[in-house]
Amino acid sequence: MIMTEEDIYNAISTVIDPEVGFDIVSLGLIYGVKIEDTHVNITMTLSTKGCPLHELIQQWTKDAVLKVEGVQDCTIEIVWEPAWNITMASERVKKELCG
Amino acid sequence: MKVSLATEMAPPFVLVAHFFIVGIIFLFLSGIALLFMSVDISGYIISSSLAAFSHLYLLGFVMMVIFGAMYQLLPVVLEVPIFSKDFAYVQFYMYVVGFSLMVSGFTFGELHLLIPYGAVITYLSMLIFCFNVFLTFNRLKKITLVSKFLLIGTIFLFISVTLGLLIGLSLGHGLLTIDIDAWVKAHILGTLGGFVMMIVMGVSMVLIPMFSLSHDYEEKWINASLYLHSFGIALCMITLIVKLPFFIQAIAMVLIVLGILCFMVQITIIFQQRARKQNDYWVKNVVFALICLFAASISCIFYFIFANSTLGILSGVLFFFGFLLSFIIGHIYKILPFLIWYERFAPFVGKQKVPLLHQMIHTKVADTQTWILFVSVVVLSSGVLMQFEKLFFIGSVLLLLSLILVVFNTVYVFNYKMRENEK
Repeated sequence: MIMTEEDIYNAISTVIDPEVGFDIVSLGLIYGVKIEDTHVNITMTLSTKGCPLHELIQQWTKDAVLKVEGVQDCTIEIVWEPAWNITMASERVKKELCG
Repeated sequence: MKVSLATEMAPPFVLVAHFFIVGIIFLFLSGIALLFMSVDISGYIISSSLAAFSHLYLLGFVMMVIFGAMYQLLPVVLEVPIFSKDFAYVQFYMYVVGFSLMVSGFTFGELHLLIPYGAVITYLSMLIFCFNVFLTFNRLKKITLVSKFLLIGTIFLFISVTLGLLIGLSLGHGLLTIDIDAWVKAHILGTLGGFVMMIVMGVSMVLIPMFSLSHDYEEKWINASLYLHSFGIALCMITLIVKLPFFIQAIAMVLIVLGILCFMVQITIIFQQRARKQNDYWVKNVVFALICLFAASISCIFYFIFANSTLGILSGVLFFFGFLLSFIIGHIYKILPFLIWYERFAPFVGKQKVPLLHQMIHTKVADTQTWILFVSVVVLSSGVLMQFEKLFFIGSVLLLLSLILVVFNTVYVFNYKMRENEK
C-alpha cells in the first residue's frame, strides 16, 4: 500500500504541544512532507528556539509517522527559516489563541 | 539551516526540580519569617530578623529557583552541555546544608556560632556554581544576547558573594578594616541588581516570547538594557567600595534605572506582539511584576534624592514581593508542571492520554493566590508608607496565605500525576 501525504499529515496531527494544547499541524509547524518510496522526510520548525520540548516533539513526530502503514523510515529536519509565526497556524488555532 | 538539538545535552530535569521544590519550601518559611518583621519597617537596620528573612527569601527561594532555571536553560540557550552535572548536584546539597546552618544562626540567637560555617559552605557552593557556568561558557563558540546576560550576571554573583564572605570575616575576625555599611550595600546591589536582575532579564528574553508566542520584534531595547544596567551596577558598586564622589553614584543610579526602563519597554513590545492573547495567571503575574518594578525604581530614586529610609524600604518591598515574587511564581506555574510532566508523562505520549501542562495546575487556586499576592503587596506597601506596623503585619499574613496556596498547587501538581497513574 502506498501512503499519501494526507496519511502522513493525519498521523502527525496526533502530536500535541502540551504547553499550547494544539496539534503541531494546526499550529503550522510542519513545513513539508516528502515521500520517497517507504521513506518519509519531514521538514518542520518549532514555535521557539529555546523550547525544552525540542527533542521530544521531534521524536513524537517520527513515532507518529512510523505508525503509518507502509512507512519504514522517517527523517526529521528542524529548520528556523522561515521563522514560525501565528499566521502559519490554522484559522481555528488563530481564533482560539487570539480570541 | 539545519540546527542541532540542544536538549540532547540538557541536564536531567529532576536536577532542576530539586532546586524548584526546595526553593518553594524556603519561600514558605520566609513567609513565616516575614510575620516577625513588622518592627523593622521604621528604618534600614541590620537586625537578626531582617537577616533571617532576607536570606531565607533571597538565598533560599530566589537564588534556588534561579540556579534551577539556569541549569535548565543554559544548555538550551548556549547549545552546549553543562560542564558538570555532578558539580550541580554537589552544589545543591552543599548549598542546602550551608544555607540552613546560616539561617538557623540568624533565626535562633543561641545558634549564632553556626553562621560563619554556614556562610563558608554556602560561599563554596556558589563558587562551584560560578565555575560550572564559566567552564560551560568556555565551550561556547558564539555568544548571543541572552548568554551575555547570563555570563555577566554570574560574574556579578562571583564578585558579590566574595564581598559577602569578606564582610563576614571582617565582622567576625577583623580581617579587613572596611566600611561595613557601604560594603553590605555593594554586596546587596551586586547580588540583587547584578546577578538576580541580569538573570531575570536574560531568562525573560527566552521564556516570555516562548509562553506568549511572540515573534518579529526588535531587540534594541534589551540590547541597551544590557549595557546600561551592567555598567550602572558595576559603577555603583565601585563607588560604594572605593568611596567616589556622590555624583558618580548618582550617574550610576541613573544608568541602572534607564537599563530597567529599557527592559520594561522591551517586555511591553514582546507582549504587544504576542499571539496568545489569554490573560491567565502567568500574564497577570508578569504584568503586575513589571508595574511593581517600575514603582520600585521610582521609589528608589526618591530614596536617593531625599535620603528617606521609608522610601528605601518601600522600594525593597515592591522589588522583593511585587516584582520578584510575582515574576517567579508566575513562571513556577509554567515550569513546575513541565518538570513533573517530563518525568512522569512524556514517556507515555502516543501510548495513552496525557494531560496538558495547564491542566496540572489548579486554576482557581492559582487565580486566587495571584490576587491575594497583589493585595498583600499593596497592603505591605501601604504599611511601610504609613509607618503602620499592624497594616504591615496584615500584609504579611495575606502574603503567607498566598504562599500557602502556592504550596497547595505544588502538591497538586504532584498529586495530579499520582491520580493519573492510579487509573
